[in-house]
Amino acid sequence: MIYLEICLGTACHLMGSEEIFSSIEKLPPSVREKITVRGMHCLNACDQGPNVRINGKVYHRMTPEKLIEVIEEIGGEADA
Amino acid sequence: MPRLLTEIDKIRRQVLTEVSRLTFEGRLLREIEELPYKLYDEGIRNYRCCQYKERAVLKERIRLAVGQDPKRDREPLVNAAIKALKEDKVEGSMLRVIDIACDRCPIDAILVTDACRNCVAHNCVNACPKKAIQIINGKAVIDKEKCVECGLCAKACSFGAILQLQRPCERSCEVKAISSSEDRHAVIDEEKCVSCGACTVGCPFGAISYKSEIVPVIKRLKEKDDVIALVAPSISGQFGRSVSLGQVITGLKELGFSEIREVAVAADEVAKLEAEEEIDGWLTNSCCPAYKNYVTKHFPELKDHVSHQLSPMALMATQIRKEKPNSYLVFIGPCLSKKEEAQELVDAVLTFEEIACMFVARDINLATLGKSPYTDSPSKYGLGFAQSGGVSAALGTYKSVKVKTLNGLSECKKALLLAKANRIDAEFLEGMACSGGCVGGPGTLVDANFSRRVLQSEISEREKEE
Repeated sequence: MIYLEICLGTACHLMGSEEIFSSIEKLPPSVREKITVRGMHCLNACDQGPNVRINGKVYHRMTPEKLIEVIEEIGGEADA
Repeated sequence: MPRLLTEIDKIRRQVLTEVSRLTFEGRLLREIEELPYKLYDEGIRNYRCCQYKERAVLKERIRLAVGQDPKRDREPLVNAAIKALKEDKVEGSMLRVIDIACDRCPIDAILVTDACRNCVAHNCVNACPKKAIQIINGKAVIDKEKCVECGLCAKACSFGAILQLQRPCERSCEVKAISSSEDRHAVIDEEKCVSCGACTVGCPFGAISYKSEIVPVIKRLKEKDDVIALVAPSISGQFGRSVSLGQVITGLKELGFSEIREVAVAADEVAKLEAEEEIDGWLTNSCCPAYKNYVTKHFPELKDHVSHQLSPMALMATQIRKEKPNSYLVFIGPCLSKKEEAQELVDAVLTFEEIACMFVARDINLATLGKSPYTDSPSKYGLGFAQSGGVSAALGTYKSVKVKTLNGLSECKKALLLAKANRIDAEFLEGMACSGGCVGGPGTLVDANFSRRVLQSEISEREKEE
């Protein structure tokens, strides 16, 4: 199970956090159902947005491509 | 914004945020010269050939952010800052080419690729009206001297081996206002340009951008003048799924705006006035400034068909100005063309992007703020002006007319050509320069479909409250 928190604060929004959100919505259902998504108001790194927290770990300057890599990595670990 | 956020958007936003911060904190003159170095050190790098070019490009982006024209010479940034702080208004054309950022892409209009099989039919040779194609060493070769770039060879090739290419800036410009100079830099023809801003999105090098008006606005906010914000109907959802208009209003107050007004109420009035207008055959809207420019510049014979009403922004500004002659009026919207429409009526026009950068510069996080009450109560039709079809829907509440919705400049072009030939099958043409209407504008922060969805839910929420 992946617990994903996306910062929706204004600084992160300006750098594209909304795109991170919509990229999750576009994932295939088999992957999407393993992810619990929650919006956050701040992850205290406003100059390095968009910030997300995945299973407790904060990632900076996130992009939809990077996020999918991280999800695959974690998913792979869980399967192994 | 019907596209993904690119590195170009992020760089522009970082620059705008830093310039906002320096202006708010009174450090612009002292620190502007260092800003290209700071931004480079913070990670705007690896896009260009070397650090020197990277900073040279940043320097011109900063010049645009303080509302000044990009330069080719070595003039220091501080001169631009001095000018920006002295001037009350950003003057001249807002869309500018940053020469040093322009790749001067050497695109041959017609290119024979390796997919050429040296076939027997030689359809390309036969199709060429100028006899510009010869087969040399087993491959079609185009004589550039003779080629008129008509593209018939590309269509004729059975393998699709010939490409017809165009520079991205030129392709993005529906009104053909962009050409290349002798040294192949992009050049905007002001006579043809309608200021829609599509080229700022189209150029993948970010070589065309807009002059920002953040410095004069911040100056007024700091002087605690009576600065009034006029927000466009398309504001719904611009600041993300968790931020309501009430929170944006709180944020604008924290920035120093004394009052926040919704232009959607003026849109309601415009629709009513437009419905009362005499129709000579057909009428078309005046609210989209890029579309209005398009009609007046490219179809001057049709300009009498343009509604004589002020745009909602202009109408609201005129009304507020009457009551409060000393106020400073700032329109906040998705539009670059509004920056030029503003002229005497509105003191400054900011995009949603510019205002968001100002929030970030002041560490204002809208998501954490409480909601302020609305001043205005626009109808769902006034709010609907934000999207393609909205003006027609508003008009439809007053009278039944046959409407045609033109979504984006290419649809506008087709309909206006037909209108010119007297072959028009509508009484009202609703022209929008941006695809999707205002929600698809170049100054937006979110995808047009997303903001359309938020707009719908906000409309139903406001209806419930009433």
